[in-house]
Amino acid sequence: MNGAQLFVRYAYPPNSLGYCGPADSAALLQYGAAGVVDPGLVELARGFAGAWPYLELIASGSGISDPLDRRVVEAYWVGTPLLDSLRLGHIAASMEDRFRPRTGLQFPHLVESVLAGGVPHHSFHVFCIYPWVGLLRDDRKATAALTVLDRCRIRWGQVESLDGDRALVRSRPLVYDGHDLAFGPPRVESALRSASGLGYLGELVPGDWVSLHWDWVCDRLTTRQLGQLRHFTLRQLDITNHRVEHRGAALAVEHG
Amino acid sequence: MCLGLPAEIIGPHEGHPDLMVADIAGVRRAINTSLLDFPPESGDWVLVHMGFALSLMTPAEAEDARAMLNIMAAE
Repeated sequence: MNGAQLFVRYAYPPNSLGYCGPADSAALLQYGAAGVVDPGLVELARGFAGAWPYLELIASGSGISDPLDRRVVEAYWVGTPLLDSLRLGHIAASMEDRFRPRTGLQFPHLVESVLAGGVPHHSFHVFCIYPWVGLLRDDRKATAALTVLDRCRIRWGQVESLDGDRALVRSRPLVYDGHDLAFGPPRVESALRSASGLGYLGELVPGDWVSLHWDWVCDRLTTRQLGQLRHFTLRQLDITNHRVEHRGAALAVEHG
Repeated sequence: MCLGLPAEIIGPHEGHPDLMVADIAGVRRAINTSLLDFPPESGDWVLVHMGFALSLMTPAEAEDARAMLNIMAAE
């Protein structure tokens, strides 16, 4: 599978909910189902104003010309050693160029997270940039914040059974004890693998390890990919729990 | 991967008391307003992230945010 198609698998779930990216989510699903890559799909991908700068950062830092190169896309969503090959100076400079105008008052917090070991993985954006970690300390907002963080991170799980458009997947949700984020006991959730039969996953079988984003199964994971996703997620959680301060909702991106 | 978006409140949503209908970049969507201290009113601007209204915005702040988003879309 090429990088653009892989991008669709992870970007479509929040797009279908209207949370980010271009308004035409049906087109994105059609591209994913058809397996087609053309300039129209590239334009749709560029419309993801949150993810695209990270793809550009990873590509430029690793000497890859195409931000939708498979190696770049997999590094951002799943995690690969490519992320650790990026020089800190490049990440910092790229953050300055690409993110300062977009993050406003939040930019110093972003730099602090990079210096603490953050890399341009999706979990970095979810746990370091979004305002939701800061909202965990507000009792009235903590439940919603934890749900958003768990659904928005790329999580992993094992398929238990299949039923039409849905898969039952066993995974460990995020929990928060008032100080730290961690993984709770396994539970089974129902996730979409297609919509009215239209999907991009192909065959799934019970026992497969898969990645999930919001309410969709994104991809089957190899043992290597599962290990990488777990590694980069745990590393980011360690940074979030122990190495940076988090502030409140006033720091939401694009405001301030 | 996603950014906070300015949204203009259109009115209540029939599905749930926490939901309201808002215009986000020309698209009407249901948003959850339960995290705000007070329910917004029609015509108010709010900052929406992942379907939740997180804060009220002044019209000027909303205009600035929309201008930034337009610049990013044009890049």
